[in-house]
Amino acid sequence: MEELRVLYIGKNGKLTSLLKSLQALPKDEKINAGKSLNIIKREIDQLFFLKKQEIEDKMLNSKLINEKIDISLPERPFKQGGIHPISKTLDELISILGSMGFEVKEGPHIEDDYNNFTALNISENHPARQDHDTFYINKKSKLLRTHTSPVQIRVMSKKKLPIKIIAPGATYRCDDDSTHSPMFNQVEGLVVDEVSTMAHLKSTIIELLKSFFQIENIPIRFRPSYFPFTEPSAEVDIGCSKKDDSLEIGKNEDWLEVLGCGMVNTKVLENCGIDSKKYKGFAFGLGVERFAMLKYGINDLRMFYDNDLRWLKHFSFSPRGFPNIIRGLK
Amino acid sequence: MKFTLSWLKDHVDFDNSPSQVSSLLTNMGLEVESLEPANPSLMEMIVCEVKKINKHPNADRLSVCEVYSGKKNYTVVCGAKNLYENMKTVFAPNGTYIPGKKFKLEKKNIRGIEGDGMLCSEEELCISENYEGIIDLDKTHKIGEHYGSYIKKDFIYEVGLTPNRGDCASVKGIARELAAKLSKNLKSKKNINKKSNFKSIIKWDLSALLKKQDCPLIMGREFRIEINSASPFHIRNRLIQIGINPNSALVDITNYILFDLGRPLHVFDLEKIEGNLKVRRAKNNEKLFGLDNKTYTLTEKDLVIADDVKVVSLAGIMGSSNSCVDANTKKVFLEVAYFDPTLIADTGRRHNIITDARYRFERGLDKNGLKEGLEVATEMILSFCRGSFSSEVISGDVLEINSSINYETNIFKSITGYNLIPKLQINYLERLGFAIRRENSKFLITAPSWRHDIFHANDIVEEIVRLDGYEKIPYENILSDINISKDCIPLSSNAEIDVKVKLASLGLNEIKSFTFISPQKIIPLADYNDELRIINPISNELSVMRNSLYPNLLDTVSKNYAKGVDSFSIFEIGDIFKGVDYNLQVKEVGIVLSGYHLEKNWHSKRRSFDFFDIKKIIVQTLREIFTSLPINLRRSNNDYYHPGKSADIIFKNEVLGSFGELHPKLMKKFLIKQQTVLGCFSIDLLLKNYLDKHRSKNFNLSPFLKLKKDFSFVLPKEAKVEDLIKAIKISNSKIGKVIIFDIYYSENKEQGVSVGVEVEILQENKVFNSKEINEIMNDIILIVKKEVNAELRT
Repeated sequence: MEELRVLYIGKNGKLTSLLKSLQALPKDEKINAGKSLNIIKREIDQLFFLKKQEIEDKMLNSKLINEKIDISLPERPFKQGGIHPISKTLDELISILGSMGFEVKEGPHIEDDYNNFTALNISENHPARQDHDTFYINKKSKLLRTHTSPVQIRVMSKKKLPIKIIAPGATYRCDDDSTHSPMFNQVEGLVVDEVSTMAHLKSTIIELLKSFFQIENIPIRFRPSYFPFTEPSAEVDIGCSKKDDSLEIGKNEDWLEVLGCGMVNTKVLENCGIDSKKYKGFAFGLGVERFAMLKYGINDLRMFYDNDLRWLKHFSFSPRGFPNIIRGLK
Repeated sequence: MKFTLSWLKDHVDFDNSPSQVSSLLTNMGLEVESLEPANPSLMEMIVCEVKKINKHPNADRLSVCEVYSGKKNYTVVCGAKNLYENMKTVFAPNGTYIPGKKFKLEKKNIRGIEGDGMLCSEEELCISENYEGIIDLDKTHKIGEHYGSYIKKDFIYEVGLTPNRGDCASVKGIARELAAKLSKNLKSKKNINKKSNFKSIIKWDLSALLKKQDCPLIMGREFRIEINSASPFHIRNRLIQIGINPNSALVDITNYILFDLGRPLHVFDLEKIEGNLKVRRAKNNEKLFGLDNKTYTLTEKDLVIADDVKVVSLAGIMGSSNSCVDANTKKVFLEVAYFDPTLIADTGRRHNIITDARYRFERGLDKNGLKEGLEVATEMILSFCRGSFSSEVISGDVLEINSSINYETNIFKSITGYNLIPKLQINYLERLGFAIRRENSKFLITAPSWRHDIFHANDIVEEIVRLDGYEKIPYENILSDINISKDCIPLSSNAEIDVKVKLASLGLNEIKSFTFISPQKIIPLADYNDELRIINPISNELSVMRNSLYPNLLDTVSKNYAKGVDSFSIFEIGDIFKGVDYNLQVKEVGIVLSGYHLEKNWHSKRRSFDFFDIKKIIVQTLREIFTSLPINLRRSNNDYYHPGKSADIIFKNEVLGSFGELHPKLMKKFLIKQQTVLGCFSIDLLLKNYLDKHRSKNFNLSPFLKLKKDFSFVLPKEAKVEDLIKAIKISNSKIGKVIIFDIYYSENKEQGVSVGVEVEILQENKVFNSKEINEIMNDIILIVKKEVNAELRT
C-alpha cells in the first residue's frame, strides 16, 4: 500500500510530478489545474490514511485477541487479617461509653488484697469471697484481680472529683469449665459526683445496652441484687427468646442476665477518703466475653482463648478502624 | 435454695399463680432460676380400664392383663393382688419415667411376654407410701385422661440467693418476703402444751470458751425415743423434691427444719457421749471423725462441741461419725445453737467443708429462732419417734438485737431519683419486719432479728425500693450536661487500636491468650521470676505470669500446624509482666510470621517468611502510626533469635522492642518445623517518650523533573548498607530518595558486597546542567569513599 502511495503521491509520485509540471502552464490555467489536482491529491491522501488506520486497527485487534487469558484463573493471593472478637467488643463498649463522657482508666492485673477486696467492702470472711475463686501470686498479699473493681479504688483514692471513668481489662478467677474461663475481660464503670441517682444509672445502662445490641426497643429489667461494694444493687436482664438452643436478643419472652450495678456503697467511698455525705455515685460491671457471645452468636466461651485459626477466621472482624466521635478528637 | 409451692403455702396463703410468684420473688431480689412442675411424668400416665385378666403362662404369681386406654388396648404383665376385671387404674406406657422407682420404663420381656407398659401403685408414683397393690380409681376418673390432671399440681422453685440473704435460705424466709410483698401475714403455728417428763443429765458447758461471742447462746433437749425408722411420707417426699436423700426420722427432722425454718440442728446419740457436752476451741492436732467419713485435723482456731473425751462435732459445720444417731438410737440429745458466723466461715473455708448448716451459720441466723427450732423439733420427734422429753437445757445469754439506724425519708429521693411518700416508705419497712420509732423529723429503724445486712440509710432505701419495685426508678438522662474530655480514650488505647487495625490490614490475624503460661515455656528460660508464680494455678501449664508474648504465639503456630495450617501471620496485643509491681506490667505487641509467606498459587513460587518480612511489618507499623518516629536498629543479643538475623529497635537510647528469625533451638522446643520470624515492641514505652509531631508545613511541588542516577558500589565486608545510604544523603542537599535495587555477594566474601543504588537528585528551583550534575555525582562518590570506604565498581 505504501508503494502504491509513493507511486502516486510520494515525493516523485505521478501526481506530484503532474503538480510540478504545472509550473510550465500559464498563470490562470496553473491556478485552476493546481486546485483540481490538489483536491485529488488530498482525497487520495485521505483514502490512504483511512485504509492504513483500518489495517492497523485490524492488526492491533488480532494481537489483543491473541493475548486473551482465562479470566477465571484465580487472582494473586491476598492476605486478609482480622481483629479478635474480644477486641472488637471491647472497642465497641469503650466507644459507646466514651461518647457518654466516660474516660478510660487501666490498672494492674497483679493487685493486692486491699484494693481487690477489703476496700470494696469484702472482708476476709465475707461470703462474697467464696464467689471469687482467687489466684494468689507467690508474693505476700498479691493476687490476680478477680474483677476490674480495684481500678475504682485506685481512681477514687486520688480524690479528683467528680469521677466518670470506665476500666476495661483482663480479670482472673480459678475456675475452668465450659462456662468459666480462668481469664476473662470486664468493663467497669464508675461515676462519683454530688447529683447522681439510680435514675442516672438506669439511663446509662439503658443507653449502653441499646447502642451495643443495636436494638432500639430492647426490653430491659432492673431487679434487686447484692454486691458488697454497691447499695442499693441491681442486676440487669435483657429480653430475649430461647428456642431450641437458639437465642434471640430483643424479644419479650424470656430474660437474660447481662450485668450488675448499683449505687456506690458509702463504706467504699469512705475507704477511699471521699465524704459520703457530699458525694455519691454509681458503678456497673459487665463481662466482655458474654457481651461478645450474645452479640456475635458465639456459643463456646473456651474458643476465645484457644486460637484455632479456623475459628478466628470465622469470628474475627475485618480491620475497618473504629469510627466514632471520640476518635475524631484524638 | 429449692422449695415447692405447696411447702411455701404452709407458711403463707396466696392465690397467685406459680409464675406470678416467680416474678414477684425475682423482682424483690430473690432470683428464681428455675420453676418446674413437680412429678411431671404423672401427665404421661393414663387412666385405663382392666378389660381381661389371664394367668401368665410361665409364672404363677403374674397375670397378663388387657387394658383399655380409651383409644387402644394394651398388654400389661402385672403381679398386683388387687387386680380385678373392669378395675380403673393407672397405666404407664413404656418410655415414661416412674418417679418412685427413679427409672425410665423400658420395653421388657417378662418370662416370655412383652408388655406395653405397667400398672402403677401410689408409691411408684410418689403419691403416698402405699405400695400394696395398684391404684384403684373411683368412677370420677375418666378413661383416657391423664392421671396427672386429677392430682393437685405442685411446682419446684430454685432461687439463687445473694450472699447477704442467709435469712432466705429457708421456706419460711422466702414466705416472709412474699408476705411482705403481698401485704399478708405469715401463718402462725400452735405451740405444743405437753409437759417435759424429766431433767437431762446434760448441761451445756460454756465455761471453756475462748471468747464469749464464739457461742453466746446454746439450747438443747434430751429425748428417750421408741423408734428411729423412716419419717412419714410427706416429709420424705418434700426432702426428695428438693434433692435431699431421706435418712432416719431423726436426721430427716433436722434436715427438714434446716430447710423449713433455716435453723440448723444437730442430734447426738447420748449413749455414744461420754460425760457432759461442752463448747470449746479444739486443741491443736485434735481429730474429728466427720460424718462424711473423712478425718479432720483441727486447730485452736476451730470451734467444737466435745464430750469429756472426744470431739463430737465441728460446731455449726458437721457432726462426727462416733456420736451420730442410728437405727438403734434410744437416747437423743438435740443441739440448737448460735455460733459466731465469722468463726464458722473461717473454719469451713480452712477445712474446705461445704454443708447446708455452714452455709446458714456463716450468713447469720435468726437470733430469735432458737426457741422455735427447739419446739418444732420436739414436736416432730415426739410425733415420729414417740417417747418422752426433758426440760430444755439452755446456756448463755439472750442474743444482742440489731442496733437502730437514723433515717430521714428525704434521702430516698436523693438515691433513687424519685419521690415516695414517707407513710408508704414506713409501711414497706413494717411489712418487712423492721421496728420503727419516730423521733422528731427522723425515724429510728431497727432491722428484724433475721437480717444481718442492714447498716445504714442506703440499706434501708434499698429495702424500700426493692419492695416498691425497681421498675419505679425513673429514667433520667446523664448525657445532657456532659462535656466530652479529649482524654476520654487515652492515647494508649488509641495507639493500641491503630496498631491492631494496621496489622490486620497487613494480613495478620489477632489472637488472644491467657497471661499465664507454663514455666517451661518462658523465653528466655533464665528470666524465670519466682514472684510471678501462681500459688494455686489451674494447672502447671498455666502457672506463671508471662514476661513475653512469644510463648503463646509460638504455641498457636505449632498447634495449628498440627491441624494442617502452613502459613501463619498472627499477632497479639497484651500485657506482660517483668515483676509484680504495676510499673513492671507492660503492654506489648507481639508478631509471629511462620512458614510460607503466601498460600500456594500459580502466580509466583512460594517462599518462607524471612527477616525482611518481619522488618517490613514492624517498620511500616511504627512509621505509619508514630509518624516521624526516629528509630534505629542494632544487632540484637537476645539468644532466642538467630544471632545473625535479628535486631533491637532503639528509640532515644531505649530498647523499644526487637525482631528477627527464631533460633533453631527454640523452633525445636516449640515443635515448630517451618522457618519463623517474630518481633515485638512495647506500646507503653513508645507512648512514654513520644509526642506526635506535626508534618512539616514547608512543602512545595517543584515543576522540574527529578533526576535518577544509578551507581554500583563495592562495600567493604563489615560496612552497613544503612551507612552507605546515610553517606549519600549527606553528600548534597539536593539528594532525594536513595533506593537499593541490587545486592550481589561475590564468591570471595573478603571482597565485600556490590550494592546497586539509584539516587534521586531533586531539581527544586532550576534544571541542572551536565556540569552541575557531574559535580553532585562526584560529591557522592567522594563522600561514600570517605564515610564507608566503598569504591565505585568498575
